[in-house]
Amino acid sequence: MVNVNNEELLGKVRTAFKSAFDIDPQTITINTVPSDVSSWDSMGHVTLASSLEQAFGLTFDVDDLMAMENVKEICRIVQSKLGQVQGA
Amino acid sequence: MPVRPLAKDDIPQVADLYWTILRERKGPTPPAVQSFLQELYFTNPWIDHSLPSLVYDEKGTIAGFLGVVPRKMLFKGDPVRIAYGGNFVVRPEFRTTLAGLHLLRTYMAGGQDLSQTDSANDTSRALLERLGFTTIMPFSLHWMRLLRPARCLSYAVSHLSESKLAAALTFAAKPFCGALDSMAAKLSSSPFRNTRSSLQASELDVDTLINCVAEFRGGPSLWPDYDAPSLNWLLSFMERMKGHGNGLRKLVLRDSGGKIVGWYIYYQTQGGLADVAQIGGSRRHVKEILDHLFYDAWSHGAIAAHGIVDRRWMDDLSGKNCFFTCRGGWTVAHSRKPNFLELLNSGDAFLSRLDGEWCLAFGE
Repeated sequence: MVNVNNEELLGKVRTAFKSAFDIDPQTITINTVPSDVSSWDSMGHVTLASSLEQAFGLTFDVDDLMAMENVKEICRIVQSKLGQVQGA
Repeated sequence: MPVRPLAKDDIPQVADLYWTILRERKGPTPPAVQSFLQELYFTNPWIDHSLPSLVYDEKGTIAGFLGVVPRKMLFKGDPVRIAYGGNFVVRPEFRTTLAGLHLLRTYMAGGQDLSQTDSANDTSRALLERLGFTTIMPFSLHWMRLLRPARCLSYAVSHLSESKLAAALTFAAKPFCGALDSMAAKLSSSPFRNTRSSLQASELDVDTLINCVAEFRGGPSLWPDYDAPSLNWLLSFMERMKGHGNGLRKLVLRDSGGKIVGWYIYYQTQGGLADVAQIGGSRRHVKEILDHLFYDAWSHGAIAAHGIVDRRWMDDLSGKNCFFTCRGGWTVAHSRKPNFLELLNSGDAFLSRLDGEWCLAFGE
């Protein structure tokens, strides 16, 4: 199981943010929320979800999308999905 | 979550959102916008309090809005609840609240059988598809017939470029365009020739329209459940709001024996597009119906006619020198019942622009 604080996971999440929003990935921390990233609106959110899917080889459903309210939740959901993939 | 049903007291704030953000207009919101929203969302004849329009209320500030209008349809004769979404807008300073996603999610979770919009742009289509909506290709294909080709070109140039040079060139070209278009409409070898149809036209009333749809809709699985009061309201609303043109032409067409063979309804705009809301009729008379429409629109000053493709008419539309495009608004739909999406995607429905939210627009 991957830990929420795992730097590798956060690093990949940061890469997805860079790909989705073209921002400095180092500005993304575990405490980042949408209001910290000016282009993280609804359209940006679905672009970010696609970037995360590519980065982790996962697929998110609408409930996942709605639950990804901040970076902490994104990491939790990715971690949980990775756990499901590994357990399958 | 701050998503809740639209209340009448919200209308002033929603009107400002609509005017300044969705329509990108400057200056105070005209009172007519409030009247439009009030009538559309609180007095339409299909109101269903379990399918309300939605607002995103951020501590008293309306940060986002999604208008919902239910429409009555029949699926193989049984009533179906369709909720059309439209006028979707979020205040820019609140977009990082993901208000748009929350509004759409609440809308999709409603009690309707089918959530649909018939005029999504590329951005909203991408967003809706990611949330589980499907693009309905048979109802996203549009036809266009040029009636005044030179004026169309001039119109396109003036709309694509806002430069003073383009405006001056367009103005200078006006007399030449008129002469070229006159030739194009009359030369026997011209693809833009307008042929006067032998069909006899008269004003279409709602009772006749209801009978026409019943007689000529064919045998699809899904069709609109029209009644006189709601159609009267709709046609009056379209006429008053001028959403896509200055006036509404509603004509029923009869053959030489007086038998009804077709009908059409379109927005009439001098020097602009004749946007067709609905056209129908007997398979045997499609070419004559199209001829009648094109001649009527041309004689009322339209530069082109435009509508949604009814695939049963595709060969006739092509034969009348129409071209086809998807650049006219996407129809996208979501349902928890996959068979609805399958039947829409197979074109097994009689749906026109009279049946969605396209016809519920506000003009100026």
